[in-house]
Amino acid sequence: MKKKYAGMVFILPHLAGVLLFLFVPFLDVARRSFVRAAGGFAGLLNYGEVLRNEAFRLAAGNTFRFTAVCLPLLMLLSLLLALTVCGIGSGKAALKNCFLIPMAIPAACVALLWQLLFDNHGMVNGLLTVFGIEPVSWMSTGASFYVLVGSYLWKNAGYVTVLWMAALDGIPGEVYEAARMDGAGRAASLVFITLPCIRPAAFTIGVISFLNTFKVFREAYLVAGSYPQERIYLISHLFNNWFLSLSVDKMAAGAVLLSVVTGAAIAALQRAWED
Amino acid sequence: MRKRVLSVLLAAAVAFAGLCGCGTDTGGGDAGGGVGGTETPSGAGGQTGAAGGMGRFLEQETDFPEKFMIYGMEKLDDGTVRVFGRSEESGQFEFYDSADAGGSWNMAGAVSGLENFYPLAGAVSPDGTAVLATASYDENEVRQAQLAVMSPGQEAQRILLAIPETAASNAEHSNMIVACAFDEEGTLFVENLNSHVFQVDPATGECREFCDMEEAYSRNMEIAGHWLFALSGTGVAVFDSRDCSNAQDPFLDEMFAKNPQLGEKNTDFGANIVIAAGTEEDEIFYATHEGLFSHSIEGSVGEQLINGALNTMGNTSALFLNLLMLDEENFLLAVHLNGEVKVLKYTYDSNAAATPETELKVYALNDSNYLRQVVSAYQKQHQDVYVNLVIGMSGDDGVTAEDAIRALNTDILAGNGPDVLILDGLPMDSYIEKGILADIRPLIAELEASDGFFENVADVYEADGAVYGFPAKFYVMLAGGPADAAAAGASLQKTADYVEASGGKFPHGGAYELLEVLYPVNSARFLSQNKLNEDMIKEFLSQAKRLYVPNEYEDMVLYGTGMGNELLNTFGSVNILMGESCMSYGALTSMSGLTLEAASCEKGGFGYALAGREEVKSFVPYQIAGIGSGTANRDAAEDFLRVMFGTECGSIDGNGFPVNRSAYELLCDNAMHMYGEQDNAGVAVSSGDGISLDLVLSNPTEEQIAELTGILEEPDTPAQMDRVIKEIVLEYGEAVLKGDIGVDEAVSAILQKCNLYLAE
Amino acid sequence: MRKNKKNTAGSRLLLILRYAPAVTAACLAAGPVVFLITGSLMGRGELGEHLAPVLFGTEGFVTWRLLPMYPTLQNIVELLCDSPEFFHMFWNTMKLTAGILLGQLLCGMPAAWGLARYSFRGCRLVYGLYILLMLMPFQVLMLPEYQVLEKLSINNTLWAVILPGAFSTFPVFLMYRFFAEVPEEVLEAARIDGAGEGRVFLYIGLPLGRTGIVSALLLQFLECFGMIEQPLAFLKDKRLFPLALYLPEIGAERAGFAFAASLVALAVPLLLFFAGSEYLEQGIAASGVSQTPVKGIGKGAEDESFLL
Repeated sequence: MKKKYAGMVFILPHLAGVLLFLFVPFLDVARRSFVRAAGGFAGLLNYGEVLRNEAFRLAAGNTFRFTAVCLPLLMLLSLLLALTVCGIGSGKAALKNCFLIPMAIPAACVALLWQLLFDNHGMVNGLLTVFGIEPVSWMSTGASFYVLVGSYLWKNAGYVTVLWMAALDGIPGEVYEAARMDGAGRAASLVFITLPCIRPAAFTIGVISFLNTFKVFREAYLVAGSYPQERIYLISHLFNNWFLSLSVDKMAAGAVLLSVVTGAAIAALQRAWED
Repeated sequence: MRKRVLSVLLAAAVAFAGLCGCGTDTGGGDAGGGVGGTETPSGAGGQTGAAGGMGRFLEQETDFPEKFMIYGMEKLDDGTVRVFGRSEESGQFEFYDSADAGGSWNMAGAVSGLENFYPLAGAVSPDGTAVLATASYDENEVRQAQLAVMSPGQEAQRILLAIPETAASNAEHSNMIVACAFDEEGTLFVENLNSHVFQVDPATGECREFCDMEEAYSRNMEIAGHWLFALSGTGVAVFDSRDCSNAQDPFLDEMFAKNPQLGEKNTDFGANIVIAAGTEEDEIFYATHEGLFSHSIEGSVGEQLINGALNTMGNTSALFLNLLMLDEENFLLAVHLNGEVKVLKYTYDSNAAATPETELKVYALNDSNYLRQVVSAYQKQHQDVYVNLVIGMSGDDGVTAEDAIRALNTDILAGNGPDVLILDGLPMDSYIEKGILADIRPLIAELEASDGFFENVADVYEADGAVYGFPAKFYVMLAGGPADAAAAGASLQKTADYVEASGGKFPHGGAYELLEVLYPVNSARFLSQNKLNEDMIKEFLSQAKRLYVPNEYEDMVLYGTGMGNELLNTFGSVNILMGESCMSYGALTSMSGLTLEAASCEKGGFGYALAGREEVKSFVPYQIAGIGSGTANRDAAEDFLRVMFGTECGSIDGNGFPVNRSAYELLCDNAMHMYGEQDNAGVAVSSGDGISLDLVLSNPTEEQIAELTGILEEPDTPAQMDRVIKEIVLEYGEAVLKGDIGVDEAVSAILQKCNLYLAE
Repeated sequence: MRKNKKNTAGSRLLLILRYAPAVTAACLAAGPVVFLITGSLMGRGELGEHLAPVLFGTEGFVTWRLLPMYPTLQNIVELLCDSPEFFHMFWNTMKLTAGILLGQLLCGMPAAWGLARYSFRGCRLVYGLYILLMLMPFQVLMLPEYQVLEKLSINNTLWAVILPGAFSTFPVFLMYRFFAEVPEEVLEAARIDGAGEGRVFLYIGLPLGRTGIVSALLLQFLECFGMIEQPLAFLKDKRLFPLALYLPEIGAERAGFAFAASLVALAVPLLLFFAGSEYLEQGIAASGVSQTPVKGIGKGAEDESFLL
């Protein structure tokens, strides 16, 4: 009987805080999405306005594209890296710590570095001219998209690797031992043991990586301001600018749309995962 | 953060016309006026603010004669307050006495024998005599220090000071007196430009060295009772005037170290701190822009008696001349403010609430002198209201405009918005659309009926029968020089053609500054009906590119003074006379600017007209103010705007011209007597190349005023003031000027970004 | 002989190949630190020379060198000796971080355990809600959150940043995964031995989920160190600002100083990784059953002190 309530007791303090500091604000956002900024009930007007808004379409498209490129790339790269690192003996801890460095470098400093690297007169262009290649204006052409992708991968790959490593460590050595006894090769044990074992972790890591795609805004904003090159104009830029012009009605509607879409995607993913 | 390049500040030459021979080299960080350290808390006190009870010092302006420069103020042994100075009206040195603690002032007598006497410093002794120090020259043109000793109704006695040879770094400076003061026993002390303090016998002129402050580079001295304070930018040295013993006062040391401006003296216009003796042995009182404090020498605290934010003391444009403690409940303070000297009396009122009950929150993104003046003027009229001036970007931290606006929006939406908003740099249109601003039409209509406006400017701010924001000031961009140059100012294209044809240089600082000067000229047409005008933007960038010459101002960085950056680019044909440029171009923002321009025009046969008039006649609004619709202090907020748009503040010269017509007329009247009855003042301007020039500045004539009025009445469109659009255009403009990208590339990038902004 | 030798060379090559990707990745990740170190050792003149093309728009490109030509400690001395505000903000950051981490330990950890190990009505819903709230961009929730904080009248105090941070759902989500992986049989065995639910969590859940807990705390720590938006929104008093807000303030004109400041800001998390993470993991491990989880349940663990 005790067990029945224990779960709730464990959750309750945190849940109370979450409700107060996150859920209540979220409800308020939902409420605002049905109200005009200047006051008065709007029904679905705000939603219509947002969906017709060109800036929103552009930002949503860019955000989707960015996520679609980055997420698989990051997961795959870091998994490969994790497998390599797990295979080696000594120096694992030191490597792990190195991987975490990009997460620890302050955003302002990353922005400064990015500027020095990708400015028209930056180091990357300097290097290109050494090899006789025409300099690229990284931040004012479509190339900015790849700079942003690179920035995201650089910042997150390390620590997603660490997360993968934690998942890999969780697989008991005896399982591999048993498989080897049964004559399974390295490839076979990867496919039949490792991958299934880390499947649950993959969901968590995927969601976290997705979460961090939003955080790339911080660097993008510090480097390129509120109105960056067209292709790296993300949904966070739009929300930020809407708030500056006090368009909280549109912002609320946009946020609700965003949460519906991501919520549905994650729910579907989770269902697929658990089957 | 945008780096700002130093500008050549010709206007400074006018402001300091009294100091002849002012150089025109880079004006340095002085550009923005005294802003920097205003935030530094100068004391541990703050009791008036903390205690919620009753009782507060109230300010009152005494009925002191106008246009009177004070050189000394002292409480005499019989309780009379005596002031010594020069009346600008009579041109004489006079004594004024007040037997009723500043209630009324009576002339106690003039002094004769002081013709062509230019005092450097002065003081009144407790026995009622006054001294003035000056520099004179012997037949060999060697400078001597001269002292004049005066009593009411008598001829001044002049004696030469025998300042002993000191190990001074500069012998020339040793006969230059910068400060003089009496201690409580009537002993006179003077300080020279080499930072040595001497004890002087006024009868013989004999000097005895008292202390040496050369290392600290002291330029000012104050005496309170028997404590002598040698002030400097790095700290303060405290001496007992009776025996020259040195007192250690870490509290004062720290205060001066935190706020170096305190130790500086702005010639005879005054200082940022004044000190007075108290009644008790080691007690002193000092006044700064923070307020009035009491402190015990060698003590560890400064107790705040008066909060400067509630009265004139808080006005950072004010410079302090003298402070007197009459008794525990009465203080007299002489200040120099906007060219006038005032004697203010602070009286303790036990029935006034310790802190005013009403708080009026005034928000501005950027600090400005004008706003400070308005706050101070309003505060004086409404001592029951506390004006809480919130500056979004104070300039000394990394808060960007967007950070500030985000915080402001959060406050507004959460119901804590300001009562009065200065809309410069804020998204005014969004605020109107979202109902953040209240309609102030009745107030504007009332002012229009009583004072009148520059209708060409005022009309712009009325839409659909409502007014949500209204500018207190505005200014125009002018182009001038020889007749064909003035004519070429009609459009950017013609200007560039002219500059190229004449082979001369267009007057500008760095690339960004050039763009800032040109931006108001045709930006009004960048946007119409929410659509961008590609041709106009392209025209702007291409002509700017033609006018731009890379120069040495580019790499110089002026760390944000945070104040009045919009007003930095001063119009002035004196540049042409100096051979620095082929025409003049920039903002005309003051009457003193007009007199300098008139003098240059006189000398060179120049003329001027509105810049870009063929494309669009635009003006630049400044200090647009509105009332938050959520305010609970509507009446107080309206009163504040009345002061803001009113004649008293509007008629102070500088920071643009008032939209209020009466204020403008008053300003013109004042300007026509700017240089007093003598009618003129000379100013010498010299450039780094050694070219020097003497100009005679005269009171503007009726015709000159009429010409200016005509120009001010011309424009009918405000320059494009949207912060985002301006930032985007200038950012790409700078890249174009520096050759990083082509004009077409920049235009398409600007269009893309601005369209995104407009689509949101 | 020959064959043998070839074999050694081959295995050495293999070894290099195995290490190569990991080492390359580590270098890429750590590269900027080298950059920061060099930059903070350069004087203003030398840095200006290297960076002028970007900072002042002069011709040419930004260049860099591995070792400064004229190394100087000027930047670091200026930072450590003449910038009291740096330390002030540093301590603000530490206070915020400590508060948030403590909150996460006391509330977040049990919540993750509760969600992962017990099924009750609405537990899926809560989990889904947590994920959804985790994904909300800060700008969206800022305004209503501000209003909540205003109601609690803790705006413009460090609590305004600590409390919402302490209840962020991200660490819970991360720890959930690791707690979910603890085999149920172990818990059942403990229950049969008479351990209560609290005891099961403390002595079995915590040690077995330690990698998750450490990961979550580490990430949360980094998150706290880099917080920009929250303090900017909820703190008005500049004396409460954390370090991350000091850094953008330094500006490109004082790049050397910025490098030095970043380096010091970076040093703390790095030291913590290098010195702390192993220790932390071991600490959690020691609090309950050690290396062999299945055998040492319940008994024996009770005598050992609980380190966290």
